[in-house]
Amino acid sequence: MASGCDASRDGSNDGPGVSAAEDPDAALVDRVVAELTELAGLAASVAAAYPRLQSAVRPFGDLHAAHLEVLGAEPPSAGADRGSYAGPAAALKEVRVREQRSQRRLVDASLAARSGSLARVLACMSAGAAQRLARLSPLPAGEEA
Amino acid sequence: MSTLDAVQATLAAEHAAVYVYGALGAQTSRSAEPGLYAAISSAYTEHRARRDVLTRTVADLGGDPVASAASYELPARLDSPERVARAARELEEGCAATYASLVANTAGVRRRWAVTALNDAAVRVLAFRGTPEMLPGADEYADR
Repeated sequence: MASGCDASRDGSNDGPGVSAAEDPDAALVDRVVAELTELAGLAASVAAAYPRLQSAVRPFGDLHAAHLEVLGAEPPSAGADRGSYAGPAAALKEVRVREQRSQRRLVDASLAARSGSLARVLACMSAGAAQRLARLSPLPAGEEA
Repeated sequence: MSTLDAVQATLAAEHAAVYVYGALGAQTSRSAEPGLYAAISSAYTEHRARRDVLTRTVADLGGDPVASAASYELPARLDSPERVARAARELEEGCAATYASLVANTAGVRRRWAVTALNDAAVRVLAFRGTPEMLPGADEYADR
């Protein structure tokens, strides 16, 4: 997959005329797409297993779908399997931990990108994830079971 | 845009942010709006620190750090906490876009600094009653 997303090219350090075949960021984008696809699946799975967590996890699914689109990838199809979790609290904890890890990886990907435009988009993605994580509340007391 | 130009543009934005946050703090009651006052005070302190870092960075790059303007245009009608919060939110969103541009025009530790500042600005927007976006700092995707 090419990293030539439809990101704005304002003020980048990119060289001219890099084709998809020789895009030095192609493998990086592939890794990001794979991780976001997996996380979108996790959000759908948790929402299917625990409908009352939908409002908490759906924003992450929507975020990943939007980011995949920006990267020129297809969002995962609907119809997620219900995962196997030890309860809603455990499921929500898994979402939080993996989303935090992904957010840090987006930062790392931004730092590793050869293309300035791609670095900018990945950094903005990490900022979007940081906002969602800041809004992710723990389960209210008494709802852990 | 060169790295030096991008850092200078960010420094100019920080000068403006420090000025405007100072004005917003003056318009906010510490006793009546403690949460908003604390958020503005925190932002003011952070942007001052960033201004100082950027000033040194410009010098390190061999440039002459852009000076602060004598004054900046303030948002109109800062006569309610809601308007102050909105002004702070819009200011922080503008800073996020500036940091994002800095990301595109830097590498290594300077890019890391810009990414960190972008993430901080995005989260800070929420303290000013903002809502999460898909790509904070990337205005071309604001409708997503």
